[in-house]
Amino acid sequence: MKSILRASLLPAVLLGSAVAAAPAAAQVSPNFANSKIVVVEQDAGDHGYWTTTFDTFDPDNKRKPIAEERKEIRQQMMERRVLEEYAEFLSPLRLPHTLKLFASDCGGKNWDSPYYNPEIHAINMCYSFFAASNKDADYLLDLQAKGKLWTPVSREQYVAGLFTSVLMHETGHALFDQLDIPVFGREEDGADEVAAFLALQFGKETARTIIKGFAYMWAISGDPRTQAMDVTDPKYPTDPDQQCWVDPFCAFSDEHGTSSQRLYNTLCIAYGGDPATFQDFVDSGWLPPERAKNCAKEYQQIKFAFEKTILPFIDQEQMAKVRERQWFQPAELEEK
Amino acid sequence: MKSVFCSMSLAFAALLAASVPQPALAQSQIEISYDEPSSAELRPIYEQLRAQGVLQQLQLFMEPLRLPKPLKVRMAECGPTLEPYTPGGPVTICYEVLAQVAKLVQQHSRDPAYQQLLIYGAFIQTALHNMALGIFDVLGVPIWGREYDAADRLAALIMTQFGEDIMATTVESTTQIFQWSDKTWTGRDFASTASPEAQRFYNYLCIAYAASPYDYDYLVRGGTLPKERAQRCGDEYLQIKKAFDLRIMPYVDPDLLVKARARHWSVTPSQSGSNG
Repeated sequence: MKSILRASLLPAVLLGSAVAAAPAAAQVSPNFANSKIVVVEQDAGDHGYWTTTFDTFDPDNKRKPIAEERKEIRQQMMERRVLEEYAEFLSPLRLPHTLKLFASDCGGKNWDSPYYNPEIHAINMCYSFFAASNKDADYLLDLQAKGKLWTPVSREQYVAGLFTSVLMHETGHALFDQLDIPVFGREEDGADEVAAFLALQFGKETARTIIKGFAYMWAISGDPRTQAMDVTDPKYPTDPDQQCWVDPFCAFSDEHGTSSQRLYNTLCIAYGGDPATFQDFVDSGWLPPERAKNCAKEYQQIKFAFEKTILPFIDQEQMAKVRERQWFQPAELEEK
Repeated sequence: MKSVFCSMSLAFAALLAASVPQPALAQSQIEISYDEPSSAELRPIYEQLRAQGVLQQLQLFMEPLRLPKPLKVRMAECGPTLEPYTPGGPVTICYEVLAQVAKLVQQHSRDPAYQQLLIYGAFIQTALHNMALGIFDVLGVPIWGREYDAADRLAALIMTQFGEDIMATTVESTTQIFQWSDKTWTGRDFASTASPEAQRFYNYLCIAYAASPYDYDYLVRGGTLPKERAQRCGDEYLQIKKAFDLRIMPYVDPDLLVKARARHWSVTPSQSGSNG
């Protein structure tokens, strides 16, 4: 399985029951319907926002009810029609297998990473991952009030950008898998690149919302050195896997880049693809000039890869419709 | 952290040390040159590598590759901006990089034979990494992921394809150098397009482990390669192999590849491989 952030072990456990069987689909707009992109209901009427866990660690697939503290985020996602609109957004894709979208309480933990599962061709958006988004927004707004942010952001912009960029990242994994795309670099970086590249294809305002959501998520996450822990610390973990995460060398063993790497990659792709729209990233010092000078070339590399490996699978007529539509609400585009 | 391998064959270093410069190979599309450095500090490494014909060996190694146009590979003094490759070429292997490696190796090992092994292994890794960038350019290979990591992964894959001696020598050198690097990465360091040495250490180790899980299982059992990463190394290896097979293999002459693989690239060890 491919997750956006480092997670504990993800063994390949075959999934049965609801997802493997013919899924019940939530409603998407007929003009943007694609039979190969389906929001999957677990129970009729849940619209793809499941009310239980869905944990591939559990071979018996026992499902527990969604935790009380995550019901609110589920409700918010439902009201915003996150999954349905995303399915509509993806409608130009011509995929060989049905891509299933749903949200669940995943492993039922306080934090679970969204992921794409290639065995069932499904993206599972974990409520706990997004439950933190409002707290993150609080933190960002506090930094902003103190004049410590590189570029303004609003709560709505951050949350909308975060949701969308993470969905796009998981879609990157889905594309690499379904379209059998050769990936020479690290796949997690490739998925980030898909997200950042797609973000730039739908106008400046949309681009800034998605890019800023993605970038600020990385900006407020920690890097290995900041989380290093001494072995004499009473909180030093006993689990060898967790010990690795707090070892300054071993912490680099993950197949994901560090949060800072991912931040600068995102900023660079944005600036490289549209320097006028993202000039403030450089002017504010967020994107260092030494990196910025080659970002156009980096963007061209990604554009070339996209044109060679993904563009042939996009219906241009449907794409035109997607491009014409306004996907974000005004508050989500507002620069503050 | 302890050294990843207990003892190593000096085969590749012995081969390189004993070789004399070969005449240019009629079938190779790799054109080589040793640019004379202006810095006096770099002359010894220039003269050593030139005398030992390292680029000629590289030419021979890469003979199966049939590119639409020749790829120039040179050794040169790079100056403050170390550019391994710019579109259109040439591929440059910087004397400064190898000099830094030599300095690092000498800080950590007093065994001259082991030092030589590591330096030549580092040369091979650097050469393959930089040449990968040239190959991507010449063949118009679409790259997902960071190009720097893509070059590392291709280099790592090539290292695993020519027998256990080559793999052991090159992977040992590569990972040891990364492990010894004392560069601390924080904050804006991560804006670099290069990857942290620790990250590269695990990337190379992961590919090697997946290529030969039985031989390198002790790295997982001993905790050098975390289980969490090791479990996914098989997929990583298959992914880079698939990418290679689709995008690069069509430009490899199968008969020349067989000959290259049949060549005896390593010799019987003449000294112990200790790092004392």
